[in-house]
Order: sequence, then C-alpha cells, then structure tokens
Amino acid sequence: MNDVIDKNIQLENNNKQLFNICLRTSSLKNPGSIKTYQSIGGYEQIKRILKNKIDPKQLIDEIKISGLRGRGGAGFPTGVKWSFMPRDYDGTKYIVCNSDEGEPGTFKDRDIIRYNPHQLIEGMIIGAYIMNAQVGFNYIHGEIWEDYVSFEKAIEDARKAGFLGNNILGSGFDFELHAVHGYGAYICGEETALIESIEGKKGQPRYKPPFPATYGIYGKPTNVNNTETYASIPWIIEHGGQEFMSHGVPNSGGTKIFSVSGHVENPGNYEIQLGMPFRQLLAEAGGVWKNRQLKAVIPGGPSTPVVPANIMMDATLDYDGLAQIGSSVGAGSMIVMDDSTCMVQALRRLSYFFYEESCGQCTPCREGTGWVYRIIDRIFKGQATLADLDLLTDVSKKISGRTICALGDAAATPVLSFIKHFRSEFENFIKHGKSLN
Amino acid sequence: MNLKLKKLIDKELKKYPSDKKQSAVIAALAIMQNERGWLSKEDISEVALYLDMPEIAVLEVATFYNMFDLKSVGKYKLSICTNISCMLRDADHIVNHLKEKLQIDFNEVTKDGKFCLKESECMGACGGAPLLTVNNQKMHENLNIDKVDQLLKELK
Amino acid sequence: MVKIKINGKTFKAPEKSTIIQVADDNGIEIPRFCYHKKLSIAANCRMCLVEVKNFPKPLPACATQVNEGMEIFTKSKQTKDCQQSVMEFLLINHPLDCPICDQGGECDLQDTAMAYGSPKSRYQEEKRVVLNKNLGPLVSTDLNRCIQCSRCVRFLKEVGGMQELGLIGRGEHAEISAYVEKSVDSEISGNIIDLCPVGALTSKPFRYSARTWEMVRKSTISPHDSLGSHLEAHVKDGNVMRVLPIENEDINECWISDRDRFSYIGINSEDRIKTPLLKTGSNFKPISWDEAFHTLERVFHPSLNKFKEDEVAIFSSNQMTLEEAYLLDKLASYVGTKQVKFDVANNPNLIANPSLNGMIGDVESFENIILLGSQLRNENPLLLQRLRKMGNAGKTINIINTVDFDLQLTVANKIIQPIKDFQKTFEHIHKILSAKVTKKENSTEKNIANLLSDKTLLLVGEDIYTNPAFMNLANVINQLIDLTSIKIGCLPTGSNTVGLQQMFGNYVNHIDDKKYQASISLNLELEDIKDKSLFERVLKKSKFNVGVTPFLNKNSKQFDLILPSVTHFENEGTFVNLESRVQSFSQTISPKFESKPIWKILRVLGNFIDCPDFTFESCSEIKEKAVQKLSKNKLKRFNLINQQVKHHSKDFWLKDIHNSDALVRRSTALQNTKRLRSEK
Repeated sequence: MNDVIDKNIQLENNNKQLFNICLRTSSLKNPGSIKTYQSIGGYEQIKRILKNKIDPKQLIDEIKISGLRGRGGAGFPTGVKWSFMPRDYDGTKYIVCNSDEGEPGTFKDRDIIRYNPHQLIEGMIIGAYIMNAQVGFNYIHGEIWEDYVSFEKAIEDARKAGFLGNNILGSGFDFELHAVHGYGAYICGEETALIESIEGKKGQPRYKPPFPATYGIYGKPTNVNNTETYASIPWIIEHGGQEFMSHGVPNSGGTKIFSVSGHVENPGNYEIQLGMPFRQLLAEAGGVWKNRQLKAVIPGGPSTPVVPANIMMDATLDYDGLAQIGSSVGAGSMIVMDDSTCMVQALRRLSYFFYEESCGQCTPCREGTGWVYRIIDRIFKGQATLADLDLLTDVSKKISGRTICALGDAAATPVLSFIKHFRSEFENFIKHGKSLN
Repeated sequence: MNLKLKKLIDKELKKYPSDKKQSAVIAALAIMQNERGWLSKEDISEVALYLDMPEIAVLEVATFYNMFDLKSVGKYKLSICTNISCMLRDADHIVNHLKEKLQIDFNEVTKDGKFCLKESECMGACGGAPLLTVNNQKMHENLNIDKVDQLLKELK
Repeated sequence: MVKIKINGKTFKAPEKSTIIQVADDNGIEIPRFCYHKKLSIAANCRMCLVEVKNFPKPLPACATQVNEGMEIFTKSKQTKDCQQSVMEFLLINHPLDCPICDQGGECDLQDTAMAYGSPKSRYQEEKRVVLNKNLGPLVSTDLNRCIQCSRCVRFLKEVGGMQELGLIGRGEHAEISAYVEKSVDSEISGNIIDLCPVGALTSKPFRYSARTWEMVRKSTISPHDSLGSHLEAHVKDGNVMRVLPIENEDINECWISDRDRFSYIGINSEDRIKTPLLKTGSNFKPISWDEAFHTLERVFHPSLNKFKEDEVAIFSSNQMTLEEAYLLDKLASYVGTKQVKFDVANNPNLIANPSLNGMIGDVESFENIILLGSQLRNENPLLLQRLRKMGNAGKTINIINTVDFDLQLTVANKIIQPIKDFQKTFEHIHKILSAKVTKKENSTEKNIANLLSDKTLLLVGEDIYTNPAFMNLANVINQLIDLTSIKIGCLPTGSNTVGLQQMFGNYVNHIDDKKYQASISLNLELEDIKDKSLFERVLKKSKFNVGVTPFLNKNSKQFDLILPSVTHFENEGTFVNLESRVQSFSQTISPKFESKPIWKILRVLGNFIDCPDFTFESCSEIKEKAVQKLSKNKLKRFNLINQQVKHHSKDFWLKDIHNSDALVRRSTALQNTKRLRSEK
C-alpha cells in the first residue's frame, strides 16, 4: 500500500515537460531550411570547435556527462561508443547515421530529417571531428523517399555554406557527407546489416566481433549511431552535458522523442524530458481515442515487451522506469492499444512482420519466425489447440539468443510478452475461435 | 542504358570510392526501376555490367529489398502498410475498399494495367497511419475512404 | 598459445584460433553445417553453438576465438538444447525423402539428426517448396533439401573466383540460384557437390546409380594435369561410378577439378576399341593380340629390320607413365633407333627441368607472383585456386601474357603483349632496377620492378618456355635473378611432363618433317597436338604407323595397326608431378574388353622381338628401375639447353580444359559444359 502511495507522490511531484531539442525548429516557419537553423544558433558549435581546435577528448567527456544514450534502441552510452573509434588509424574512417527506422511504430527520425536536418548534419560534422572520420553516410529508410530527397538538398545547402567538403571553414578539417537510401528491408536498421547494405550487398548482419569500430564499411573503422543521437549533439555541445542531463533523470539524461501511434487522439512525435510519467504523455497525445479505455501499450516498439494498461499507467518513461516494469525504452516507438484491440490479431500481425523481414541468414530466425507466425495464424483461424500456446512459447524461446543479430530476440519478445500478459485471451480465442472483445 | 540513366547512376557512384562501385547497386536499381517501371532480367544485367558486378550478386540485392519489383506492377504501384500502427487505425478498411474498387487482390495488376496493390511493411511514418505510397515515392497519409477515392481519380 | 578448458579438460591452443578449430584438433566433436575450414566463416547455421562460461548466450564455435582461461562446454544442457533446437528448425522444412536421396548414407544432416536431433517432430505446418534450377550438366539440384548453409555460394566466390551462385530472396524464401537461366561454369564446380552437407546439390552423372555402401573405394592419381591430385574412384560391378577427391593438403587440398571428377564417364565411350585392328585396304579387321604382336615383330625385330638412328617417330602424350617410358626407351634403343623422338605437342623444351622448382604449398609463402604467359584456368585450375587465395589475402598477383585471360582473381599489374615484346619488357624492368633509367616514370613495368625480391616468384607457363623466343628472354630473366634474387618456377601441364623430362633430360625432340620408316603414337589424338598438319604429314610419309589408344579417333585411319590400350582408371604406373613428387597409382578397375595397359603391351612386344633384360614381372619392378633414371636438380637460374630450334608453329595455342585428353574428350557430361574457349 505504501508503495502505491509513494509511486503516486512521485508521479505527482514529477515536473517533466515536453521539451524540444532534436525537434527544436519544428514550430518555426520553414523549419528544415539552413537559414532557419542558423537563426537559432545552428552551425555555431562546429564553427567554435574548428576555430578553437577544441580537444576531441574534452568533447567526448561532455557527451559522457550528458548521459546521452543511443536512441536507436540499444541505449548504449554515446560518449563511450565514440571513444572506441581508433584515433590513430591510418586510413579512411567512416561515420554512419542510421535513419533506417522501420520497426513498426517508429517515425521520429523522419521528423528530424524533414524538420531539422541541419542539426543532424551539424551533429555528424561534430562527430566526424571527434572521431576523426573523413566520410559520413546517412542511411535513410527507402520508404520515406520524399524525405530522402529533401535531405540530399539539405546536404547540398550545408556544402554550399562551407560546412562540408575539404578544409571546412578554413580549418584544414575535411568531411564529406552523403545520403544513401535503403529499399525495403527492416533488417538494415541493424548496424552491420546497414554496413553491408552500404557496400551494395544484401542486408545480412555480420557476426560480431569484430565490431564496426574496428571493422566497418569496407573493413574500415566505422561508427554507427541513430539519427536522434547525432541530432542531440550540437545542443549538448552548446549547453553543456550537465544541462542536457538535467532535462532527464539519473541514468536517463536529456530528452527523448516518443513516437506515439495507434489508438490515441493525436498520434505524432513528442519529445519529452526523460522521466515523464506515461499518463502525462498519453494526455499530451490527446488520450485514448474515441473515449475508450486503455488496454495495453508497447512502449518502445515491437521488440520491447507489451505492457498491460494497469502497469503502464503508473510507469515513468525513462530507461530505468521502463526496465522496472519489464519493458524497455527501445526506440521510443509507443504503440497504444485500446480495449477493443484483439491481442491475437495484433500479435499475428507483428509475427508476420518478423517472419517477412527475417533476412534468412541463420537457422533459428529463418525457420522459427515462419513457424511462429503459422501457429498464431492457426490460432487466429480457430485451428489451434491449447497445447499450441506452449509450443509457441517454446519455439520463441529457442529463437531468442541464438541468432547472429537481435532480430531473433525481437521476434520472440512480442510472442512471449503477449502470452504472458494476455494468456487468457489467447486461450479464449482457441476455445471459441474468435476474440471475446 | 541511356545517358540520363548513366548520369543519375554516376551521381550515386560519386558517393563511394572508385573501386567500390558495388556500393551504388541499390541506388542504380532504384533509378532503373523508376525509369522502366520494374526490373527485367535485362535491366539487372545492365546494372551488373555497369557496376562490374556478377549478375547473380545484383539479383541477390534485387530480390532482398522488397521495394524492387521483378514483375510488372502496372502504371501505379500502391503500397499500403498493414502493420500494427496502421492496422490499429483501420488500414484493413482501406485495403478492402481498394481491393473492391480495383477488383484486384494484393500483388495483382488491374486489367487496364493501371494499378497494382502491394501489402507493405512499416514505412516509418506511423503518425500518419493509415498510409500508402505510389510508385515508391509519393506518400499519402491519414487515409480515409474519401481520400483514397480522390487519389484514384487523380492518378490518370 | 592460450590455455582453455573444453568439458573440464585443459588444452593449449594457438592464439586467435577458433573454438571449432581447437575442438577439431583435439578430436572433440562439435556438429556443424555452414563451417568449412577452407571457406570464410558464415556462422549462419548455428549448429555449432556451445555454452561458454560467463557468456549469457551460447556462442558459435566456428566464429568465436579462444581466450586465455575460456571454459567451453560441448555437452552441457544448454549446448544440447541449442543443438536439438537448431536441428529441429533445420528439419521442419526439410523433406522426408531420404530413401530416394542420393546423399542418403553419407549425409551430414542425416548423421547429425541421428546424433543430436529429437526423434519426433512438432511441426504441423506445410513444408516449403523450392523449384529446382538447371545448373548445367554436372550438378543436379534438389532445392527442397537445401538448408541455406551457403557453402556452395562461398566456394564459387572465394575458391572459384566468380560468384556464380547466390542466395536470392530473403528469410524463409531464400533459395540457391544461379543468374536467370545460367549454368555454373567454373572448372572446379563439382566441389560444391562434396561441400553440400545435404542432398541439395548432387552429381548429375552419378544420380540414382549407386548407394555409397555398395561401392569399393580405389585410390589413384589424376592424369589430367601436372598437380597430381589424389583421387578416389568408387567402383561397383567393375565400373567407376564416380570420382571424389582424397584430401591432401600439400597437393589438391580437399578439391579436384571437374575433369578429374567427371572424366571417368569416358571410360565406357562407344569409341572404345575392343580388339587389335589391322588395316586391310581401306578397312580394319579385328585380329587377336597374338597376330598383332607377330605383325609388330615383322616390323621391329632387329634381325628383320635394323633401323638407323632417326628412323622411328614416337609420338606420346605427356600422361605416359615412367614405367611405360622406361620400357619404350629400352625397346627403341634395342631396335636401333637410339635417340627416341618423343613428341608431346611439337613443343621443344628449351630449358632443363621445367618444373615448379619447389613445393606446391610453398608458392603461397611468397608475397608476389608474376605469372608469365600461362592459361592456368585451362592448365591447372587448382594451382590457380591457390594464387586466388593469395590475391584474397592481399598478396599481389601480376600477369604478363600474350592473351588477356580472365583468371578470375585480383590482378595487381597486367601487361598483355606479343611474345616477341616480352624480352623488351624484362630489359626495361632490368634497366629500371639497375638505375639506368633516371627519369621518373609511372608504368606497369615500374610497378612490377618494385616488387622484385626473394619474396617474388616468377612462374613461366608452358606456352612461353617452349617458345623459341624464350631462348633470349631467359637470358634477361637470369640477369634479373642475379640482380633481385627472385625465385623462378615453370608450369608444365602434363601429369608426367616432369617425370619424362627428369628421365630423359631434353626428351622432347621435335619430330622433323621428313620420311620415317615407322611411327608409333601412344595415347595421343590429333586434338592433343599443336602442329596437327606436321603430325599428319609424318604419318602419311611413314611406311608403317602403329596407334596405341583406347579409342577410335579422327586420325585412326592413318594407322596400319591399332592396339587397344586402357584408360587411366584401368592403368597402373607412376607420375612425377610439377613439384617433382613421385606418385604411383594402381588399377581401379580391370581393363575393358581386350584392352591392355601400355606397359604390358610393351613388355610382351619386347619378348616377341627378343629384347634382352626384359623379364619384368610387375609394374613396380619396372618402377624400381625407372626411378633410378630420374635426375632432380633445383634451379636458381634457367639452364638453357643449347639446341637449334628448327621450327615452331603459332605462338599461342588455346587449351580447352575439357578437351585436354582422349578420356576427358569422351566424357559426355564435360563436353556439355560451357567451356573457357576464348579470351576475355
């Protein structure tokens, strides 16, 4: 009882707000233009860095202090990752921005690319300076073609303004940035698959080690970070790591974009100070649509476990807060489901996604994802028995942790979490051949 | 391959080291498909020749990335997302409406060769669900039956 | 070295070795499908997952390097659970057609399923169906059985040098395919049959003809090139059913060429000659061996016919065994023709000991290779494969040739020019190095010059060291050797070129365009001869022509007497390979019809014409004498044989790999392949 009271006090005392860092131009006129970005102090940080030849180590320390963690889903501390890049390597080094967001419910990078591309570009230039990389790529999801085209224009504008190319701003520092696009393969969001794709191959993840920092594009040291991660950098350098950190909570520094989709009144991107209660974000998104009740939420995208409403309503949105309720921030891809949702149908669609997107390279995922989908499809078609639920769980567990990349784990996660929290609904479906909603 | 195509592919090749022409294969195939509607065996061979790649390696790429079409898709390929965020916002109604109106199922082309309907995975724009793209390039979001009807009218 | 524990037992292992290598070296079994020691690591089948202490997830043994103190468990609960689940996943879409599968009885999947799988299946859904592809006349596909291990794809790309197969599509729909309607044309393609761990790729000619346990295994040495690959003929009911490699790391590693694998099909060709044949008018009539020998006696018995020094022309193939050559030499000098005129392909040797001048494996220890005029893809595809490996490892392969062959490897520098210009090129290189050229230059010659050191191996192809232009070229190269300490070697093409050379010195005296009293052609056909018209003219002028051959052929009608000899698989004898390794082989099957091995024919002929000291009881007895005649010497420089070269035909003679000898020519499967006929 005391726990509940404490939690409520904590939630009420919370003063977290929406706060735009990565999306800070979005409310301005003509948000994506270089002029707009420069009007709010854009590109000043890279100018300052190059002019004063600031020691990269100092900049990495600032990023470490900020608490910035990889926003693509893995949540690895960015400053630490950047320090893995060998500084004294005698050849081309690459940095890559991963804008290949294709996990259902994820659409935050797209808004950075179309509304604030220059902050991303500046972030990448700073990253290149810190890691001493000569070439960068922004790998953009092929399906958002118009945004790929607009980003190419943004690069061109940055180049014309002297921020890209050889001898940037007369500093002697060279950095070239290119936009490249995928063409319909979710797996390319995995960093080594993305590297393979940039090399012109099928997007099949590489076995690690070696990691990209030692063996990346064409075997050269390569850093891969998410769009939102790179876009956070100029603000951190401008305001200091401590300031960024203070927008979040300990261990979850800064702001994070949550892409809210599904059954809310106002789907869209909400950049929040980490640590905001879920119920506050839900309210910001207009609440559950059609005045219905909340049934469940997938907080970070389908590769993070689904959470039933009662648990979710008391959760805070930060790395520890979501871990406490057995889920994860992931990419911040929040899928909201109201009480009319059939969980069997929802899981069937998610399983089909992983089956369809499995690259086919390793056995458990290639064979297992199809098997899992077919069992759920049988449940959905009323052709399953209760024993199939155990089979489903067992098969999923045997995919998880045994594949080259995390897609195997991701495919197992929804199955295991849906059955864990909504087993009775699955059992009912099997018994009656339909949803009882 | 005509000069226009070569120019477009050459522009992509500039992004990579000169001995890494293969890197441009996805872009080259996309350029080819955009020009010719879909990728025939000859198109793939042309790309292979231009990028100095084994044909089978180009075919591997063309069959791995699912925005490539190795069969004719008519004048307008409508790729509609049915993944969870779109599903939750009634993409199925849009799909059924399209199937009924065009009298085709997924992966079929209308008799007049004008439309093809493809079921697509997540396009990374779920805030605008439900949505579809036309010929891989133009995205239409927040669809409803009226918007779909209007779109079909506009696609001549 | 690092110390690790496997199943509680301590092992020492070289640093950077993988768990699977250490396990293999120490006889600890770890099941695997995609891993192959000669191919890049894919880590995709997941069959070799093992539990490793302090790692939350199981690790693939094939891709995980050992570290000091690592503790690995190959039989723990977690490992077994992984093995069983991967096995289950592999089998859900694998057809239950073992009874009609050629791989049955020698199938990795079958064996591994028995050892690591679960006896019952939980899969109720429909199995995947994959359409088969036509990959050409050698490899048959049953793609429903494929487990996507990608060994075949990796082999053709990495060892074959050209990606001819791919895994197209993705996920569950990924399938092995060549490009639309294309076949697999690599000259070493058959190895993918051995590599395939299931029955997805099987031998097309062998299909459905025998079960593995019905066949007796007989080893032999390849007669088709100078490598001397170790082969195993699988024999059933007196017939060779198929040929597989015997692993020998020093020679053929675990590969063989397609002609090694499929030449056996020619054994039962319709061209086989069943009995001796004697020309009567314009026809041949079958005669008995006794009659045949009496006929020979009348021509060759010294008491009836004493030949002068240069009155018998002997044409032999470079596949002639040491034993055959020894007897032939002895007989020739007995009948009085003294200096035997062997003629392989009208190519006079210009230098002593045209051998590799080192061991095959040692080639890979060099940093740079300069390939001077060779058609390795046609001549020696497995040696080429080693060069390819070197290229993949970042070493430089440089080519100077008359024709721009696509050797399907990474070439650092290439010069294509007529052979007459070779000398100028080497002189130029010599000038660059002896600093006689002062101006800065940026040329291929300069690039090559910079590579020359004792880490550089210059390999001279047969086309070059048998060409008269080589006489002067060799002098320039010798100067370069003195200057830079580069090492040299030659690339002879025949399975016993080196043996015959070491036995007789400059054995290949070319045949003159003149009238001989008699000629003997041994296991040689018109297609094998560079100067075909000379051969035909000599036979036309000669009084009596003997053909010793297993097959009727285009020039058969020029013979007065035809003796049916055996094919390689019915023969025994000894070859000396290009690295001077002496290798004997025995019969794999009995001679067909009334054919006889050449050594037996010569042995009996010797008795008929009363040749002394001709009482050999066995082939090995002849070998003992023959090997004594071999002279081996390692060359630091080219040792020129001072002989006047009277004539030569065209500079270059394209050798079609699947038209290289009578047996290969009669392998229908090989004849149906798309062959490397032309230059790039």
